[in-house]
Amino acid sequence: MKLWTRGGELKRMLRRATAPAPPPDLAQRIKSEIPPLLARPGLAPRRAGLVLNWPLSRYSFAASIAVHAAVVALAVAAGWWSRAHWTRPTAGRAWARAEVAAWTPVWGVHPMGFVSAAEVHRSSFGLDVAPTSYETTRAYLKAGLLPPPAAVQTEEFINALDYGDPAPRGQDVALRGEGGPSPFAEDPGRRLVRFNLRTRNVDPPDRRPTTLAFVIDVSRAMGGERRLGLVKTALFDLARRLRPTDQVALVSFSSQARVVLPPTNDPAALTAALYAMAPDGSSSATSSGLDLGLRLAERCFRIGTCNKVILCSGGAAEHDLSWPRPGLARIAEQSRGGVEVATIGFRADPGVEEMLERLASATNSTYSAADTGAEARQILAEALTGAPQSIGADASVDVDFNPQVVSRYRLLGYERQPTPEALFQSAGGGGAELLGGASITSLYEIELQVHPTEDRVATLGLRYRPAGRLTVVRETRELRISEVASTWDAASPSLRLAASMAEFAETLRDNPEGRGDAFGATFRRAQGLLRDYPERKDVADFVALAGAAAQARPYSPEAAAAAGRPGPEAVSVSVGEGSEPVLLRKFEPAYPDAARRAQVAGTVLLRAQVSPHGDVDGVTVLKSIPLLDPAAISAVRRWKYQPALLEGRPVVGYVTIAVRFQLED
Amino acid sequence: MPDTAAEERLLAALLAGDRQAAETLVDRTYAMVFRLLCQLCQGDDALAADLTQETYRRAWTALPHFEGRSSLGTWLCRIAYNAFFDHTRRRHEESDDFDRAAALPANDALDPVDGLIRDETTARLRRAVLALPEDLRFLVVARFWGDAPVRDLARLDGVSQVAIRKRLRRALARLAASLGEQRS
Repeated sequence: MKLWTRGGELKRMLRRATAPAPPPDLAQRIKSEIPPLLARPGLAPRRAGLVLNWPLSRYSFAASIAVHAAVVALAVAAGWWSRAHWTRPTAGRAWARAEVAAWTPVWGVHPMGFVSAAEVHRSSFGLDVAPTSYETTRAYLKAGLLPPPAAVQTEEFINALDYGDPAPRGQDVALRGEGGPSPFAEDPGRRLVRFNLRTRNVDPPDRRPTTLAFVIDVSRAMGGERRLGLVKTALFDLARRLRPTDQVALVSFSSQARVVLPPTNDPAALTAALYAMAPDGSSSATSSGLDLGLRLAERCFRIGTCNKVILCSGGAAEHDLSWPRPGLARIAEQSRGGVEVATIGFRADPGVEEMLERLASATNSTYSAADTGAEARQILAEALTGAPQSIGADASVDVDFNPQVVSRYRLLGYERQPTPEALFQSAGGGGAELLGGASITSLYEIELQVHPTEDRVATLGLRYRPAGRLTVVRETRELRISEVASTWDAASPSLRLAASMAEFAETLRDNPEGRGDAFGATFRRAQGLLRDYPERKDVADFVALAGAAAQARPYSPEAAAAAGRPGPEAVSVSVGEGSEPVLLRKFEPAYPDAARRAQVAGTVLLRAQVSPHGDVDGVTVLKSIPLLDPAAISAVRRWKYQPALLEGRPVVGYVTIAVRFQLED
Repeated sequence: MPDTAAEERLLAALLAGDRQAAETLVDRTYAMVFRLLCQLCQGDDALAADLTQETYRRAWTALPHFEGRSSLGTWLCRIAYNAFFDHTRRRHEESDDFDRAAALPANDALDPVDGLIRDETTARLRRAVLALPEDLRFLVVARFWGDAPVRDLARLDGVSQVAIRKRLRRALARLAASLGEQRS
């Protein structure tokens, strides 16, 4: 389908663009112009820094031979010395040095505290939120266990429910704000405010019913959270978009294929099936696996609907993910028979991506790449609806608190999400993608001034570039003090529901020992919601969960193992019992020349994700110095760790690293 | 993807002033450089050949400053790309990049049959690529016409591979949009 080709066709066109053969004598002409004294000393690098910019094993050693012998000897010695003694300063050198000052593990949960509005009046939150943590918790509670505190992410709990904010008509987004008392303190000055951002629906009302068969790679190459987690996140979102006429089926494959979910329309069945799915640790796709997967998918199809097979794979270059010929033939056959086939690479490494693209073009299907949760959700939503889902790009949200009214505020959740600034950096300067039919809710706990002098509490702002346009637009919504209720009775049902959900999340997070009374209070308040939402199944489910929490046993690895370890793959961060990543090998960052000339120094704060193999495979900038970030990131990317352990198994871990750049004179 | 060890040996030899190494480099890369320039020059082979020569002339001068941030191939892509735009700049001092590039004589000098074979899509695609903003344009040229690996482009810009692929995707989306516009 043309609409969700996402550049595959264009890439082929670009690559196909033909060029004539070079003239036969061209090589000779070029060679005749090679200067007699290639790389002569007169052209030697003017910067001694070059020699030190590279580890000795690479280019610098060879380069230096050609350049000055004296500089070489000095630089090699200095380079070796600085590498061998990275903690000690290279005293007496004229050039600047970069040094890794400290590293601290991010382990467990660090709730964000209150921020003074007079000091920092502007706050922000990420738009890429999935309800993964809530779903994980549900799995634990169903097994009679409290979830490990680190598995609880408040913002994911809050966004697991729909608060009834209607989708806008005639415009792209609707911004809303409301407030009420805080569930976290008796103090009447403390309030809770709820902001919601709802985008218009882009699901065409007259589209055909769709049957989607997902053929999902669960081999080792999909590696837990990193890739399979992305698939799951996107499917959780898809579950909400299903119409009564749509159907979804899941087939997983590694060395063998099996039906995880027969065709169904029940979103709950889909989410339940997603828990059961875990990487099985066996080797990557074999011919029988894929072949069976496709044949099973074939059976799911209904005549008169829009039928699609979606292959979800990914993998790292070290795993040999070879797609077998019989599978290719079958896909090609199916695509001729009116079944659409699509291939999605989830965080596929470049090598694997090329392979998947080749697979897609060989079978006349489309290829899409999903590197982030938002991208994955967008691709699946487009597959379901057959319509482009993006309504804007480069989106970012900010909340501007009025210090005249608000003395302090705190954002609930988002402890583990990179700051919007860091996201902005890692996305190459862009913000988030704004998808149609999305609803994002964020809660702040605020403390009002004793004598507010103005009416405006805060302003919610959204900045984005509407699809197909080059200019950025900004929408704002002011929250007035009159909209912030002072009692529960005066607060709206949606605020009460959100408050209850947030309270549930924070209670779970703060009470790993399971103090029954804390959960009892939460449960009683949640029960009141059933009056407001008598018809909502998900609300009833939430209240039941709150009740289950009051009776659940505390989490321990042994108990989790005995309960069949519910949903461990969906836990995004390693939790409690285990060890954190330990640094094994470290590389000094090079001091960027431009920064040195510009006399730019300071500390870059990074958060690194350490893979179960001990590699740093994701770096986000927590505190940025633009001229220095790239050098810090590229150094940290090469570090080696002993991976974090959870219950004896290597898992993904996180560390915060401060990289200090100092200028010496 | 070129063998890294072999490339390092080649670079070491080059920096040591080994003429043989320079010839090897030319043999390995000149067809790629020529192809890339052909795309930029819209099939003006003679100009592309001249610019290929110019690219290597510049490469020899710049070699001692080569920092090894990318492979030699990607480095040559960048030089060729700059050579092309410098050339067009000389010819049309006052107009901007896009006009300059688009103002190049298209296919007049070519054999008419040749022109027919090269379909119109290529020309439109080329115009669309040249109309991209500077940062995206080089990425597209290097990635698709110069076959530069994403890893190299990432190192050249000092950003992550994901960021590069994201930019490439953004560039492709723009290309698709502008091609759509031209069509309608």
